[in-house]
Formats: sequence, C-alpha cells, structure tokens
Amino acid sequence: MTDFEEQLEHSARRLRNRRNEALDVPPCPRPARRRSGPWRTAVAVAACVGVVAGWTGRGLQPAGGPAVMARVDTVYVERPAGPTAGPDTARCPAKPSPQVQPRRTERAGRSRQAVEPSPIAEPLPAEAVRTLAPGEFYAYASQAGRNVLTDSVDYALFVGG
Amino acid sequence: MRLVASGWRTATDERLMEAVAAGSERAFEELYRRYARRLQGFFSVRTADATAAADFVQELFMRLWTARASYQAGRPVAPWLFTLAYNLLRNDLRHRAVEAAWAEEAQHAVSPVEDVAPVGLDDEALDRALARAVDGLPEADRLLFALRYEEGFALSDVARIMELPLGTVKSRLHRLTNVLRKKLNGDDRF
Repeated sequence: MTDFEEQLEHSARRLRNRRNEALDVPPCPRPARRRSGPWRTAVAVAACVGVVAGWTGRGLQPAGGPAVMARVDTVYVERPAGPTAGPDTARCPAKPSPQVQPRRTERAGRSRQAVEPSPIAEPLPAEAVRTLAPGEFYAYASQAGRNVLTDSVDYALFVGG
Repeated sequence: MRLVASGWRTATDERLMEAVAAGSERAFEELYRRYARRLQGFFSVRTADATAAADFVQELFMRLWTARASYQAGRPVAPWLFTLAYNLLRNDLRHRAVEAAWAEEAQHAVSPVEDVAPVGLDDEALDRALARAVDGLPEADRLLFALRYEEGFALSDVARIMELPLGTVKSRLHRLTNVLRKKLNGDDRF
C-alpha cells in the first residue's frame, strides 16, 4: 500500500467512524426465540388454562357423570324420580371435611336443599271455603265418592254453624 | 469449551461465529454488537436511506442465523459478513443501478500508472475533500472504496465479496486511487 493509499485509508476510517457513530442502530434480533416463541407460548398458555380449570372445577361432578368421579368427601345425592311422602331418607348426613373449604360447604348445602320437602301450601281464604248446612253432608259426601257409613268419618264436624 | 457471557467480549470473530453456528444466542448478540454499526453504515451509504439500511442489517443477521450451520470453522468472519451484505444489496432492486454502472465502467480503459505522492492536506481538510470526492464517484467506485479503505479488506477479500477476478479489482482500484488523487489535488477534470 502506497503512502497515498494509507492517507486514503486513514481518512476513510475517520469518515466512516463519524458517520457510523451518528447511526441509530436497532437492537439485536432474536431469531431463535422468535422461531420457538409460538410453541413455548402455546405450551405455557395450555398449561395455565389446565391449572386454572383444574383449580376452579376440582371436585365438581358433571351432570350425569359416574359416581366414581366423586371425591371421597363429596355427598352424592340421588333424587327419587317419583313423588314421595315423608322425610327424605336417601340423604346421607354430610361428612365434615377435615379441610374446611367454603366451596365444599356450599356444595353440601346445595345437596341438602335439593332434597328438602316442598313448602306447605298457604291455607285458602275463609270466603273460599264452602260451609255445609246441616243435613247436606250426606249428599256432599256421596258426590265426593265417600260412603258415610263405612269411612268412619264424623261428617258432622265439617258442618259449619 | 463454553464461555461465560463476559468471555464473549474477548473472543475472536471466528470463535464467536463457531459458537453462533452451535446455536449460542450470546455469541450472536456479541457479533451483532461488533458489526451492526459498521454494516449499517455500509448499507446507509449504498442505499442513501437510513431506515432501509437498518432493515438490511436486521435481514442480514437473520440470514446469518438461519445459515449459521453453513459457516466453515476458521473462515474470516468480516469478509463473510460483507459478502452477505453485498449479496443482499445486489439482490435488491436498487442494485440494478450499480450493475449498470459496472457495465458502463467496463468500457473504459484503465488509466496508466501515475505518481501516488501523498496529498499535502491536514487530516481535517483531507477528510472534507475526500468526502466530497467520494460523493461524486459512481456507486460502483464508492462500493470499492468502502470495502477497501473504509472497511480495510484485503484485495482478495474485496474480490471475493464482489465476486470479481482479483485482477479486475486491482485495476479498478488503481484507477480509483488515481481519480481520487487528482480530485484531492484540485484537479476538477475528474
């Protein structure tokens, strides 16, 4: 390299350095992370969804699901299909869980509520009740399919005054 | 041998590139730190567009990462990077103008050897005059000037980067230095 070429090179380096110092260089690209990012994100999201779903839905019995899925401390109540009389005898007493958790308590409460007997109907208003006159009760009982001689009911008690 | 993060600062370019080829992001970041500014300057002069130059640098390093496995251990990194850079430029539509300029210049005869005495200017005056002189050159000459004098590549590296025969590079560089010398000496005919 000649002296002139050395002059050129030194000057060119100074010019280049001044020009490059003024540049706004963007940050380094991250190709590796960019390539595998969607997979990692998808796996992480799926894991989070699974954890959250498992936490919020733990112990819940799906409708019609098999009883073997019930937790050991879950009260499983089978409601009778037909009309019943008397107190519900199918309900097991709720076993208190050693770990007191509001969600379980609430669930047991729902189960108990499901088998409570229907509330007693309100009595009819007084004006809606027809009062029989004396001597009418035999005919009224016959219309109702009753036999005043055999049903051992003292119909005179229903006769108003 | 794995290097800790701070050790990359002292590693050679070739060692860094070997680590990049093995998938090291740390080495990749260090290589970017060393060359991004130089390459962006190279691109910015070629494209006259700062945004495009930054995009070229990003594209170049993305390609480098993609093709990292093809790196041959021990191969000088800087000429390889500038080869990638030149190929990017050449593939760009803007480079058509450069190709046209090369074709036009190929018609010109190489000027005879002239005296290459140093120009009698101080550094600051020389820098200003050289900047003006280079600005007035065809793009093909500016590219040759950048690779040879700004980046300091050997003639063989310049020939490899530009995919030209070594003899062609020598003759064009000789002609270029003559033109610059005359311009710097105040000869306005060039």
